[in-house]
Amino acid sequence: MVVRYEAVPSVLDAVHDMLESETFNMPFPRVFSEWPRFAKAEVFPYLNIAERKDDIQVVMEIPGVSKEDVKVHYHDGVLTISGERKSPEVKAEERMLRQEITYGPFSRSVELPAPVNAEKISAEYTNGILRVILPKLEEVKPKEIVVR
Amino acid sequence: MTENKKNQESFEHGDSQNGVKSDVRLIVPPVDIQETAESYILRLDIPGADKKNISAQINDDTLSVSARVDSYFEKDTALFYDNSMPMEYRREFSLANDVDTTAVNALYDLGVLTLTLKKKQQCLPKEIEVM
Repeated sequence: MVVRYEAVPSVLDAVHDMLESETFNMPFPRVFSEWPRFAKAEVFPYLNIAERKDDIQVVMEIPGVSKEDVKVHYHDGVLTISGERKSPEVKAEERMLRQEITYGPFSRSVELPAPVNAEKISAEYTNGILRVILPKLEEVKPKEIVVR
Repeated sequence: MTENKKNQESFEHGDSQNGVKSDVRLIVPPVDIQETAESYILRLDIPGADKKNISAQINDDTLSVSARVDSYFEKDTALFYDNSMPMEYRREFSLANDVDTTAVNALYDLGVLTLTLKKKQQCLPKEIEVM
């Protein structure tokens, strides 16, 4: 009987799934995207989140994605950024000598570290960087109390 | 058109060799290389760069690309997932003999640097007329 040996891939799968979960999020996928198995996976844009005094900023690297192909969605403390990186045209007589960039749809959701004012969320996209600015709700902003 | 591995390694391990912690994050940008009848098209992901901070140079048969990108947040910001360091993108390629190094075109759009390297005229396939 021939049994396909899958122990290693399944361990890698499990590790990848774990890393992909929002708990671990960054920056592990950079390493694992090198595996051929994962290179075939969907686009996995890198996400950076910073909490500042008045707002939370989420920065995502999505080079090669047109502004029209990006969607930013906020609901109940969770920010979701999705979109698609369209692959460039390769004609029949042309060939790819190397392909490290991944194309296709992507979607990432992240739970925000503090309540934000949903009405005032803004997003800008320049040179492949999407920056979402989420102003914090007044009551969670740090307050200076004057000592009398 | 191959990657210049030797130099690549020295980029990646640059800071550990010096024993000094670097104040930039070195990144090797992923690349797509597409060969057409007349040219090689290289696409490199360099998100967030300013056009003037990108450099592409050809020395002999080596193409070097580098770019500096500011950190995404101010230094004292509380970060959840990120490092607040500026980033330096670097990658080198050894050029094939058929590349015309005098005819290189560079375009930076949507965070992707596209370099088009024309093949030498004498290396292009020729149609020979049958008499």
